Amino acid sequence: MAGFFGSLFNVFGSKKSTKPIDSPIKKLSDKNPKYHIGLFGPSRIGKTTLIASIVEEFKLLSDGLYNEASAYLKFSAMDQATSERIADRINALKSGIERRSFKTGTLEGTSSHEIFNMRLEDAKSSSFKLDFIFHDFPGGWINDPSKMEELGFNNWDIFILPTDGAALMESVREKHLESLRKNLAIHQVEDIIRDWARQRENLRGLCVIAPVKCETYYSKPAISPVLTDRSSDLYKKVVNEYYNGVLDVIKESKSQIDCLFLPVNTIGCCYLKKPTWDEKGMMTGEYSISPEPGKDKWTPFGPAHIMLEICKFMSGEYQKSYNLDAYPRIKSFINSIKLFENVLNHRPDKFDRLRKLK
Amino acid sequence: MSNISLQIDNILQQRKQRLPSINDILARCRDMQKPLQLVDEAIAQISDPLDSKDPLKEVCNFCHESIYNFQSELTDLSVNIQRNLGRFQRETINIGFAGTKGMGKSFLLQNLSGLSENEVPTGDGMPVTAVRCTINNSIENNAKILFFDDDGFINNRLRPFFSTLGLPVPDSLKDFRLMKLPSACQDDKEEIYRQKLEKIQEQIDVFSPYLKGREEVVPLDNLRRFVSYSVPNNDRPGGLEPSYIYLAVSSVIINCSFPRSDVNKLQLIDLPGLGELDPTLEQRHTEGFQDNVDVCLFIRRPSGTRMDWDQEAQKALEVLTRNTPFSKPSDFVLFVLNAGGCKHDNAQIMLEEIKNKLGGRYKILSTTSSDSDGLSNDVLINVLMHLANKLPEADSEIYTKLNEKLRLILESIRSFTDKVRQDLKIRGKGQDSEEVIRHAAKDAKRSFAFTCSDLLKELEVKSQSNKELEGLSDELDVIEKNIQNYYDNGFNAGSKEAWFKNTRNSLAENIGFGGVLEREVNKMRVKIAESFSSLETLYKLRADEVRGRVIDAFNQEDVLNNLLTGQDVECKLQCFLDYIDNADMPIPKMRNAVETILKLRIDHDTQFYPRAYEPIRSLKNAVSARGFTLDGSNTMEVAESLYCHLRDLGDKTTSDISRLLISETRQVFNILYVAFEYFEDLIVRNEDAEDEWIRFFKEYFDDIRPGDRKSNQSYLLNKALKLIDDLRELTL
Repeated sequence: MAGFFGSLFNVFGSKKSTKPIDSPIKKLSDKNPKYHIGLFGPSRIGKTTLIASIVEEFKLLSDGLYNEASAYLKFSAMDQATSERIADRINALKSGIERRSFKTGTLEGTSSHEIFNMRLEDAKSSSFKLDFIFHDFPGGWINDPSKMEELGFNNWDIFILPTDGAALMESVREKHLESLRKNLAIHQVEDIIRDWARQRENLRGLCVIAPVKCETYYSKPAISPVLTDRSSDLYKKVVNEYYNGVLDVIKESKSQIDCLFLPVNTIGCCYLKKPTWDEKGMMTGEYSISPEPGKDKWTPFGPAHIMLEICKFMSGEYQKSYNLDAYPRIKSFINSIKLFENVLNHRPDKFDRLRKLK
Repeated sequence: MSNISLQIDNILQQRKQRLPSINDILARCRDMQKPLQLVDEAIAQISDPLDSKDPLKEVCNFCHESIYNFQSELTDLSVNIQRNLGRFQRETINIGFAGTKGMGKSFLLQNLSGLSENEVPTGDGMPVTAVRCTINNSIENNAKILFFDDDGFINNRLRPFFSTLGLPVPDSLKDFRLMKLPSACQDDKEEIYRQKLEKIQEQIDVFSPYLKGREEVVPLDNLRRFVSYSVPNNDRPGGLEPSYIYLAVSSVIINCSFPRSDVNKLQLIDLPGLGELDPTLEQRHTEGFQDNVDVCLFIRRPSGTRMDWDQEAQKALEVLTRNTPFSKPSDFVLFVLNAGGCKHDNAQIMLEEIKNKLGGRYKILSTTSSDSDGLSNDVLINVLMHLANKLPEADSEIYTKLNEKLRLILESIRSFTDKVRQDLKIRGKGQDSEEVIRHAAKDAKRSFAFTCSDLLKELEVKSQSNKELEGLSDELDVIEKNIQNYYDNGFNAGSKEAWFKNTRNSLAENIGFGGVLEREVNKMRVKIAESFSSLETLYKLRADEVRGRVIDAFNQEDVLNNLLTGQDVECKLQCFLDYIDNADMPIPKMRNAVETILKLRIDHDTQFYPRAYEPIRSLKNAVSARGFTLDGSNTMEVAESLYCHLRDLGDKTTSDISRLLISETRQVFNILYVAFEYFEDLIVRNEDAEDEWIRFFKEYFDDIRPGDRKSNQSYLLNKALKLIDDLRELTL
């Protein structure tokens, strides 16, 4: 497939390459190919916080990459608007951490379609860059078809489905269970994924089911000794119970869409001490900051792996589509990704939560 | 004499020995009454709804009549036995002295007893003794007079007169006093009675003060006025004046020492008025013959004009022999020819006359003596010899007669039971009651099973639906709120400020906060555990619901028909167990089933809390790990920091336990389902279930289907047959 594509398009030099009809890889003639990433989930689930967490964790981990592998991957905002939004969110989060207690759902939800223009680049000069457009749009748009058309989501190559890990795990009473599916907009998510999958035809894609607020359900990193490992319960809830429909849609579609289960800690230094529900049945928990010494800082765990998987996905596509020896910058970029992965895999708190669902 | 005395003592001893046997006969008579009554009632239940033309009705009528007759016979026999008991219980031999007026009866009594005119008055040709006197050979020397009361006087003295005259008996003495008697009667005899009644009415003020209804002891020299028709009065013609005080006297016992008898246990009974025209006298004469007189001496005395055996004498003899307890009247009545002071020829004529007229059947004792020695030798000794010979045989005969009478009655009852059993079986219709009970039991079991299957299905659905336990969410909210209040209250220190102060002091005293932390966490752990234990009430409600449904199923009209009663469900199930335990037949599986449901428990502390214990374990780990620091530049700030930390830990633990319990308590219906299924298996499905239901119904059919008795003739028939069998058993 890659050879075929390679014959169709002339990207660099005399070598002709053809864009594979099943690959989302942009033409290498594009200066900075842009990839659209959708963050799809109901209001106030933590989508903006997730993006901020990806940025922050990437920043924390990049130092390690440089020190260990003399490589430098940079994930940053491409424009000032994006930069400011991310900064605002980060400041709000840090304030809550400093107060040593905060409630979820208190941060302002996205009220309009916001785009985060981010760039992932090998920070050496003339590095290969990938531009990612994160679409963070109001959860309420899910129920508005005209708004959805405006989004043009069929162009998205990657889907991130953040879901409320805490709501999933803490909703055990019937009155809470009754509203959970609705609050997570499961039905709408299935519809969107179905439509997305169909419209992409044979294009390859990536879907990441990313439960957030998972600090309370994993014993690593250790936040508090009162926490026990309930990762298998979380997996069952997400994969077998609530998002099995999404998975079925993906499996049944003709599109070659990979699906990952990737639960993350967006804050990292807090745990849910008391779940509460509002009158609409939305869970708004009270979180407590870890009393462990040195663990009361914002330490996202896992969001960077979302980017890593995205990068690996892209790398894989490039490797399939192009003879990388002819494209040293791409090759360098891909190598950096590999090094990055290596660094992540060798850190003390290895992230082992990823599960490939398809 | 001493030999006779020994014989008499032996007779009395033998009589005493017969008493238990006679009492047995009496007891058997009495014991038969109730079973007869029960059979009669059972037959009445069968008979009531029947048409008069129903052949079974005829059998029932026969039963009723027969039983009535048996009951009457047994009653009569009981009365007879009671009378004869007096004979066998008596401590003395009693000799009765009877005779028409002027035969010298009182003279004989005087001489034999050593009494005088004052106690036993004599009269020339006129009746003197008005009251039945018993003279007792005793070392005492007095008379015991039993007076009538008003009612006794009316019944004993007046009633015979009024009955004979066909007049209404007065209700009271006052009524008698005021009563207007007829002025005359056409019949001569009735006229005599009327005149006597009139006289009694006239004299009411004389004797009525003595109607005391009690016994009094009087000296012998004061006795005459109480026992005689007349008392001496020299101012009156004949030296006597009429006395009516005797009318108030029921009986008299005179105690004195007999001059010529060493038979201590001897009584002489004066039987006055034989032949007198007085309707009360015959009854008074013969009353007590069965129990109070061993031999009756009929005194005859020839006079110038009366030597023959006349009609009066015949009537008198008939009266005496009418109620004799002996089978041979000639053993009971002995003639005494009192010829003292009479012409020899006249005495002979009378003797021959008696022998001829009575066929020589009766023993005749003749005496011409006029003193106590002679009379004792001629009369008393011979009478005692006669008694010594005849009484044992007579007593034995009485006993045999009574026994034989009972035997015959029992034999009749036995024959009756055999006959009526057969007739009832032949003429009764309908199913055998055993069959009815079996059907009823099977139907009940089926109906019960049908209701249970619905409940079982319900429980199965609930157990599989994995639904949250009803009421649990609300109860958990209450528990969580209580725990919050506990924190707000400074972990029960009264207030947060109080807790801060105490903790601050503790922190100041100790190095580090570990000890304080452990103490407070332990208190919190206990509080959390206690708070959640209130869920037990919720589980009990669910179990009670199942128990209630079981009771409702049992108490359906077509099952046990509200047999199970009690204040609450548990009492009703216990009631069921009591029925089963009190049954004659064993009903083990049913018992086991009922006990299972009664004891069904869903225990929070042992069944659910352990499964929700993990958060407590984590809490303990958090304390022992102690990998944290507390903020604060002084002990108060550290205390506040500790408070927040404890509260965080508590909140986390509580919410985790709640979450786990919500999940675990979904098993409640599974527990109830499994227990109920086991119960149903025992009581409906096991191979002995049907037999046990039948056994239970057999034991308590009357209670379960009381209405069915009336409509169920077969059941009534079998009930009657059982009672008849029981009756027959008693006759053996």
